[in-house]
Amino acid sequence: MNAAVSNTSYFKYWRACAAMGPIFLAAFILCWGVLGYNIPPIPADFTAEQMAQHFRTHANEVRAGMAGAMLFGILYLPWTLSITKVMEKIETDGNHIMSILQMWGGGVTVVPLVTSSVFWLAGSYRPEALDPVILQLLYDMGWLLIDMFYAITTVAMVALGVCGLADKREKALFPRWMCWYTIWAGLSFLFELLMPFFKSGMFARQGWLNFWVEFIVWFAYILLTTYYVFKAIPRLEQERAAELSLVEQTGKLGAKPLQGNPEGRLANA
Amino acid sequence: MNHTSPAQAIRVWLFLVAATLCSGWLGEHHGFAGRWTAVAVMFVAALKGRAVILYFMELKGAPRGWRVAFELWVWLLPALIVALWAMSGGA
Amino acid sequence: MTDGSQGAPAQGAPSVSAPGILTFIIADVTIFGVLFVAFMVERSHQVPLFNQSSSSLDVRLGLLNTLVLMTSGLFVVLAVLAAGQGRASVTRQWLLASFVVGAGFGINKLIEYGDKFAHGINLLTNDFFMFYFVLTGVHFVHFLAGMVVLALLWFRTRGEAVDGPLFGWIESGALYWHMVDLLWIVIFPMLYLLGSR
Repeated sequence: MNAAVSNTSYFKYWRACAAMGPIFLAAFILCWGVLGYNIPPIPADFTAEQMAQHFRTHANEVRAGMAGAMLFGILYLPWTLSITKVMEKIETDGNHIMSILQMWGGGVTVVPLVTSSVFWLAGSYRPEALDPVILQLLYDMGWLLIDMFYAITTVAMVALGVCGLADKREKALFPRWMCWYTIWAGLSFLFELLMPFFKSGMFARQGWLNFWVEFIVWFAYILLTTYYVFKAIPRLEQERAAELSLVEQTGKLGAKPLQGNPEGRLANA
Repeated sequence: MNHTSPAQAIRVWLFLVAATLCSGWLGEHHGFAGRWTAVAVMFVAALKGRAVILYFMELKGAPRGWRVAFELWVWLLPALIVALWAMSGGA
Repeated sequence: MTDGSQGAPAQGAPSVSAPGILTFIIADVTIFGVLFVAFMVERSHQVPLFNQSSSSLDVRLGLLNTLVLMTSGLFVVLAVLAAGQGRASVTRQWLLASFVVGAGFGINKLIEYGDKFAHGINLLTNDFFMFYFVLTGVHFVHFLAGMVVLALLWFRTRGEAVDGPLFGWIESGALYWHMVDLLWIVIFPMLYLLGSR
């Protein structure tokens, strides 16, 4: 631990990053979901003509929505980082395997969020000039990408759950039930495996299971995790403050082991 | 938690086996209980499920909320299945 | 670094009265519950088709599988009891027994699937078989995960105290395994026994 760094500056950006989660969620629902006509999705069993009609009627809303989705989709990245920082304080081994996995999994989740939006955007760009089947293909591709790239998000969620369960604190930073929910939620995305086989029914992209349940499960994960990250930060501030005052008392860096703090070892070396 | 004893676990297992064989037999001999077969079979399933959650999963001694949640599942789903079966003509 | 455990209390806090895995289990069985209701609703639209398709299933195989899972479940109960008393080798024996008996479910299921595929029946044959393959398939994935868990516990208990920090994991693994059993208890009669044969 670098005792020269005060708590205020050490934890400076943590809350700001964590707050990006709910902001991402609200903006994404509005832009991608409402303006972009993806909540609920246009059913997979609609004809190409109906799909063309959609793009030609709502071109401007979809353009605006997707431009917004591509902007705000990025906020998933700083939000992910705030989780990573808390996880690093749980993984005391200095390896940080789960924290890094979670960071990559959450960070790369931005890719399907943003790139799938390009297909809907492309459909709305010059819908009068494009054939209905092409417009249908573009709408399909958007959904196939965002739904079928679920596994990268699963990686982040399972890593968070596994790491949280290994917390040795008397009262864990992430409660055990939340960790199990996270693992379950990540694995439940596997239902999307069936999505390409159906154009109607519960497994289709508009189906109650593969759309309503899975997206609500994911949205709930975002809110739940944000809540517990915000609960964890003040506790970590206290833990670090206690370490700092100890350093002051003994006048020696690293006189006590510093919980979850690899820099502690460096300071001692 | 209030642990299930080995003897108790074996008794529960004997019940589960007997109940399974009964419902299997009933299912294959629809003539015996006739239209009531479906009701009987799902009722046995609920009893079996309850035995598993209370004694195998030891929810008998778990906090009340958890026990209620699982008991609800174990009774509600067979009941819904029977209700939907009856609503579609009970065949 | 010297010793001390400021901010990091007791290693392996004793397993709490309600293991967190119950959250996972209740979420999972709820989703299955919704699938059961969806099956029954779809069935009510096409009762003859569902009953006819159901009658082509082998009740004996399904029955055998129920017995297999229950027996395997009993062995896991005995494993947890032994672990609670710190009897490591007994724990491992029951875990192994549970795994070996449980494997019967997998073999049985593969025979059943193989037979269906040999008759040209698959996920897209009709709505009954869509549900049949999805319900039993998702359950089968749960079963496979449970087998992996049993195996991992068997390896982990090799050199570690079973009533220490590991106990919580043994308990959680056992609860998960009972869930696989519990789900099958409802899936089996619903798919195999409802209609008259």
